[in-house]
Amino acid sequence: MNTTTQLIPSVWQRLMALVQTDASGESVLRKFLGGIAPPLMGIIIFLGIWHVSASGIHTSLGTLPGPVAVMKQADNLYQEYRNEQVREASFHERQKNRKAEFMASNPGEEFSEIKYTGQPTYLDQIFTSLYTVFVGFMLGTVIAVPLGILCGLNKTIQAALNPLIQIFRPVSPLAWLPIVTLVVSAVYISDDPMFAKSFLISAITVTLCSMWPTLVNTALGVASIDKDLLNVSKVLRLSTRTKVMKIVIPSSLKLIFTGMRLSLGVAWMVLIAAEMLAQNPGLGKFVWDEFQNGSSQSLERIMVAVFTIGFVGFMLDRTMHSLQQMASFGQRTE
Amino acid sequence: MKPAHSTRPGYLEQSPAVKARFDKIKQREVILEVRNLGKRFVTAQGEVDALRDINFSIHRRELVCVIGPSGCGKSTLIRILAGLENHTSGVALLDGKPIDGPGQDRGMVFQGYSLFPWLTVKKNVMFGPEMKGHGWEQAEREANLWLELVGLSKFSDAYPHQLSGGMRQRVAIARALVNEPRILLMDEPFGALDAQTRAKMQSHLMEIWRNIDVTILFITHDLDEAIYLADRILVLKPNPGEVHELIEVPVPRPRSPAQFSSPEFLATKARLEELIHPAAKAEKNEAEEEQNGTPHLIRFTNVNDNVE
Repeated sequence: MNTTTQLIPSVWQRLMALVQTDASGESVLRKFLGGIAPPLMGIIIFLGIWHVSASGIHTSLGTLPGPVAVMKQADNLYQEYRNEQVREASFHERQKNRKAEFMASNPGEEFSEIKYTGQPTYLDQIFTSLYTVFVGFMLGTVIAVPLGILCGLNKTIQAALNPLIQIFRPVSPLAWLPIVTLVVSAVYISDDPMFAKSFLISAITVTLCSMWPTLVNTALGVASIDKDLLNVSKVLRLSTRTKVMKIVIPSSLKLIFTGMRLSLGVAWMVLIAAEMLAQNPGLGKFVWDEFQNGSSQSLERIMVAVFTIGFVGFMLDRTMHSLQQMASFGQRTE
Repeated sequence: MKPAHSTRPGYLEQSPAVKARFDKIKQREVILEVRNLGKRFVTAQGEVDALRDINFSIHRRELVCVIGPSGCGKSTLIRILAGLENHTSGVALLDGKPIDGPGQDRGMVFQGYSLFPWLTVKKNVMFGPEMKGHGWEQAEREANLWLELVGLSKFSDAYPHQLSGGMRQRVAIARALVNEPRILLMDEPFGALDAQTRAKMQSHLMEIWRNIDVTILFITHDLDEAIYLADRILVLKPNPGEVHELIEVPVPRPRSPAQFSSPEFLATKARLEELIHPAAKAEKNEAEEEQNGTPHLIRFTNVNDNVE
């Protein structure tokens, strides 16, 4: 009883605060609605059009699913993940019991554990994709940033690399993939491989396609450093190494991050295509498998994947945007 | 332009106090000596003399301004002295040693501040000492000292973009002075500042100069600034850049803005005007051009609707 009497004014106050006007003379509520209404409207209209038009399209896998069916499927995929978790937990439980029994009856002998081989769930596939894109992107950054710095510092190197950059930049991942597949298969031979071949092929394809924006932007950033800042380094007689570490990299950081943000966007797009063909167990393979599967649920599942891909890509971009913001020292970036 | 006061060049007259001061300065050791310095550029149109046969020397704790119309090579001169550019003839001696290449014995302050935007004010000032191999603590101590001197202790943890133009230039001055240069080379340092900030910075610079053993070479295109700050003014003329005259400013020290209308100040200014804008012939063409350049405006308003 006591708690409710305390609660009611607080809720009331909060509601009243929404109607209060702020510094600009507009009510907080109106401002909030003004900010959120247009995007919300956009989404609702989109869902409406989708719902209406989907029911009219009949494919070989049945009617194109509408938003409701896709939502249900998303929940379904989540349930599958939960079930799989339970199954895995019980497997480990059983194995533990078996081990205890075994140790009791055969003391001193080695117990051969069985590895759990469950189906990768949808969430596992998302993480595989994230991991693959991360490795490919990082590899690309590690190659592109130093190359870009060299290009920016030295006109001759820039001139030498420029035609190569221009030619390789627009190449589609689908063209790289066969080459990468063959090269990886020929070079990466190991009895106990640390990485799966499909993973390496996808990651390297991502690297080849996504490193160019970082390279180009780094070169641009380094080439456009304020000449007076370089003069400061001359007056202090800095070594080239110190100059690069203390002046060149910090002052081109903003453009390096801009390049990396573009690269990550490309990397994520390319990854899905690469996974489809390389059969790396991520979202791309999921889409491909569902397409080949051709069950009544396939289209719904693919659409869940489409939204997942979009959402993850969006989140990656936001993350890079924050990094970019940090590297721009007070100047705003878009 | 006709000098109003007399036919005698008043800027050459020095009061006994001013004269005594110049005598004293001339007895001090020479910090910078420039002999027959020349710079020749090779362009597609042929060879161009940016600087030719420049001679002057600066004594310890002297404040010398370089002035001249645009294109007279004053920036080239200071860049050669800083070691950022090569000269093609003659020599420049700092403490008797020829200048070849940049070094910490010459501090440079640029018009564009050139602070590191990714470092705080304090770290900007610490940069030089740290690169010289002073430990972090010593560098910090030195930075704090110089920031206090330029009156920015409170802002030591701010970033350059949070400061006003005048404050940024003060950081730049502190950053140059922390390396304890023999000479401070300033390339139109206050050119980007508004008039009020500029006046403040001029007084501030003189305050620093009075308290520290530093010699200053200061480039400007502002006549008042040159007279207000300088012991001597090196007037350059363009095409090719040559020394026009080296004027000993007869305005007594300590200087104050009130002296802007003193007879010595006005006489010096009249002389500078004469040297830099040699009235008559050259200017006539320019004036004509300017007049021709004025566009013919069509009236878009009613004739009776006179705004004036």
